[in-house]
Amino acid sequence: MTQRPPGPASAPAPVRALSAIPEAGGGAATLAPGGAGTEAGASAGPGKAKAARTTLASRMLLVRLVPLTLVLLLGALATFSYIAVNAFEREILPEVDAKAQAVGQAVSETIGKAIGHGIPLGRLVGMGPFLTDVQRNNVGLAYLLVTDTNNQVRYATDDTPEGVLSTFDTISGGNDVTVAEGFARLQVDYRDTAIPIRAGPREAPHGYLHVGVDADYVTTQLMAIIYDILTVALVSLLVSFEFLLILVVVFVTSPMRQVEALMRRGQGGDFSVVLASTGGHGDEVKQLGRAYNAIVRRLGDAYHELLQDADEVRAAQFDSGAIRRIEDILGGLRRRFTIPTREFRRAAAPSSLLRVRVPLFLFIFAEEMTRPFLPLYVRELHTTTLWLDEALVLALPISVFMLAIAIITPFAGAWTDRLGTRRVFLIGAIPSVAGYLGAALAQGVPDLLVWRALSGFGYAVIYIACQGYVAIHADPGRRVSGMATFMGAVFAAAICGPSIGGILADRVGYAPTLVVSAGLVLVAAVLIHGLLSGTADHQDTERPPLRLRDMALVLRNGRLLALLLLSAIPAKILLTGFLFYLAPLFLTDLGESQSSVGRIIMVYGLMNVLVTPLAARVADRVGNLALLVGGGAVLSGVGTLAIILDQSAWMVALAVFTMGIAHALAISPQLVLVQEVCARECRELGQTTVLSVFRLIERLGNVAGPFLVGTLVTLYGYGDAMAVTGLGVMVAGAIYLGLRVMTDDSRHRTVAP
Amino acid sequence: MGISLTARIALTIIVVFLFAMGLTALLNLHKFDQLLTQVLRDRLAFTVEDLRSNLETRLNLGLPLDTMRHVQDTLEQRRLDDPNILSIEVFDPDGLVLFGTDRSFIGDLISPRWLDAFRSQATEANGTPGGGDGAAGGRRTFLVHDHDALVVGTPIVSNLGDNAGGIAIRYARAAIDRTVAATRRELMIQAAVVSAAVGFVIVLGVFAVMADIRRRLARIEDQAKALAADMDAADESGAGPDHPGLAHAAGDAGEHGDRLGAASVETSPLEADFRRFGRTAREAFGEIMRGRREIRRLDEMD
Repeated sequence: MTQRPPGPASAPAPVRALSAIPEAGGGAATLAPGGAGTEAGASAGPGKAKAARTTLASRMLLVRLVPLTLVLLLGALATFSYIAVNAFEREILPEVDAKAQAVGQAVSETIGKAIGHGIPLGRLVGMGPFLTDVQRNNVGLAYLLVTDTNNQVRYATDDTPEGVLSTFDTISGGNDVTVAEGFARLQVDYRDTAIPIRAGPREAPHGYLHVGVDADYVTTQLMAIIYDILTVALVSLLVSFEFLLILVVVFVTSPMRQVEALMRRGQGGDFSVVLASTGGHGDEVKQLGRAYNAIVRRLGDAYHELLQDADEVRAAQFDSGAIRRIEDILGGLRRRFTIPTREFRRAAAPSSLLRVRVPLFLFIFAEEMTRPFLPLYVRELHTTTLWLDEALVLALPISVFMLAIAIITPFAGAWTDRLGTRRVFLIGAIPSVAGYLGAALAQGVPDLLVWRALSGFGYAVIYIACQGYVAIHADPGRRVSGMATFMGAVFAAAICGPSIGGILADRVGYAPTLVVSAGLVLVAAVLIHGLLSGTADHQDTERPPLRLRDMALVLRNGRLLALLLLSAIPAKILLTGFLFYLAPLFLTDLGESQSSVGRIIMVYGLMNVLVTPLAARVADRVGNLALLVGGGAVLSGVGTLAIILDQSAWMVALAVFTMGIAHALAISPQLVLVQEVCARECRELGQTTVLSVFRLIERLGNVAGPFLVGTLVTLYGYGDAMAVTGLGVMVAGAIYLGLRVMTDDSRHRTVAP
Repeated sequence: MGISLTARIALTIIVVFLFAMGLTALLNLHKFDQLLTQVLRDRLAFTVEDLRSNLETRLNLGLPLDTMRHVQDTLEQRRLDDPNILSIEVFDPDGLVLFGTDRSFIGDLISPRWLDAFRSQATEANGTPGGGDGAAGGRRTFLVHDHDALVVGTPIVSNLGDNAGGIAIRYARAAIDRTVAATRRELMIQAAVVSAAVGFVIVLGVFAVMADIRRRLARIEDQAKALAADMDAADESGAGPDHPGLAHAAGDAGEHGDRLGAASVETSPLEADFRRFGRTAREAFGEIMRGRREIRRLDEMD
């Protein structure tokens, strides 16, 4: 990243080092001071102030752009939906009327026959239940009632609206005007069709059958998709936010901060650096960069001419006083200013953690889209009988995907160190895209397994590549906020993916939704190709591979084993076994649509986003990390166990909700707890190695989850399998808490008081 | 050809907005198709139920289904009620058409898909006596989506619970498709109009949001260009450090900085940074010019 081109023979090489130090959450390049006598290197204070200033500028822009997007988006969707409802009403209401007419005609004929047999209209038996039965068998009918020729109601369906009955009370026996006004009032809320009841074709009517259709029938029916439309609005807003964030930071604030930093160098007399990339003629910030470069280069040209003049005069001079004077002039300039004559150093494109955020968001979005329907897709493909029970066959693709991730992850870090995030991301995109397309075209479970393994390979590689980018670019003092930038993309995708995946699967089918996933990965790859171009994205040193000896050393720690077996692995079992495998199957079995399944799964991501920031504060306040970790396991178990109260979609949603909260509460303290219980191992092997071992073993829970829960489903069915899983997780959490209490080892403060 | 920040941001919002509109349109149209089919299916189901109850009433009087000659007229009458009804068929338990509005079908077998759907409904209806309970009869209809028709049918069951056959209506799928296509076209036009209007507002909104930053950047760029022009002029005119553009370098903001900056209501930190940078750059350029003049003077003295 740092470029040091040779300076001219007659001028000293610029002494100050240029390095791009990205900043988490809004990062950009800043110039590290190194030389003496320049204002640019004065102190970190002003630099921080300026960083805060540009971060504030980003926020100000986002604060204006996001509400603008929100208002326009909601306004446009509401307007469009209103237009749609009107168009639909125009087409559907005549059909509803035709149906009301058909039903009315048949019912009036039946009543007419009875009257034809000599039973007066007022003496018919069982009319109320008969009309009610007809109404209930014909969706959309608000009421059926029979009046005599004076509009007095004789019979009506059980739940005829009071307003309708009172209208008929008003008009019964009234004059023509009263009747006309009454019916006009009635038509506001209902489309009332009156059919005469005749005993024979040529007879005068004995009364009228009124069939009422709710005037808002179409609107009411379309309200069924209101949740879908709101979901689309929410997802669109999140996607807008993600894209605007990167646009504002990468194209506005980061380059501005870079120009600002160079200007500050210039204020101190250092004109040795130009901006590397000033393309994009319409871009206002780049135009400013070009203007800056023009000034600095003009100075360089002038300085070059001065040096040439000096060389010529020096060569022709014999007067030592004159030569000394020339040296004085040049020396004075060199002391005050740093101006190269030929080669300027070029400031690299500003790095930012946000450069990987949108591609990562899209990539995770693609995978999350499969959550609401993958087991159902497997069920659809499961045409041949394998040697496994169906419930276990449905679990296989999830387990294979998780297994591929578990196997590849330990190697992916070293690949990223060696090849860089950009290249590894692009390499990982190939199996990912192939995996989704192959899955879309799969003819059976065996080939689907191969494609899912490929997707798992790509997932692991890309995830770790992006994590590596964060590791390189996060300010060491702000690693946590760097990681938050990374996890923010993952959580946002976990909210958007399942809901949109569910909606698409419902409307266009499973295979086309998988093709959409492949498309999203391609878009992510194109973005990463552009966004990481020219930025530093790999480590100078390659991390050592994970050794079996290190694993053995870490796993000899009993307290870590307890944490793994009683909290971390059960949490993963619940995640993949319940959320990814059982929930879609169970909810579909309960009659929920794919959209609804997607929305329920989305709740997990939503709770993660909402609770994670609070969880860190709670952890600091409570101090007892084991309580949070064990308590989180107990809470998620209780939420899942609650299915025994009522086997309904609401209880599944409740389980997802509590699980989202519980995992958010437990995950951050869990990592700190690992470092605490493995303090010795961290000192010996390093924190990264210990956490890698922990993560690797924990991922076994991801692999085993669908299989374990699938076995329970085979034995007990969906509801009971869910309850048993919840019970298991709850008991494990309780044992963990008990062990910590017994060993009197449960208080670990994360922050010094 | 570059693209301005305003255009870049506006385009991003427009693309996301179009994604949302597209998805909303898809959701609405899908629901419309579903709703239209459901209402139609209900109407057709009611019609077949009504016909079924008439047939079951006669069946319960002991008349075998294949001897009910009036059925043919009834079916043809119902067929005339709605031009989109392609045909109505009454068939025996083996699927052999006994009566039909298209007389050429009589004696043929119904399609295997109908037969499967009919049999699965008939199995459920078996043992449930058909009471000829008219319009209020409980629903046991089946639905088959043929490539060109929506088929709604129901089994006919005697009061002893015996399966006597079935009745089915074929409704032109083209009629539904036509309605859906016309509505889709209309919605697409409306969506395009809404999108164009909102797109315009997005561009205006982003333009307004970005106006301040754009103005400031433009001001700094102007100052930068003025500084570069001063440098060129100082060099070309031979005035060197005495050029008016460089002469005020020691001042707070420099002549051009003052001239341009005075117009701004608020001077941003970036502008202040640029002024200080510009002042130093002028000083540096002035020093270089002064140095060149001095060196030339030494050369001339020689």
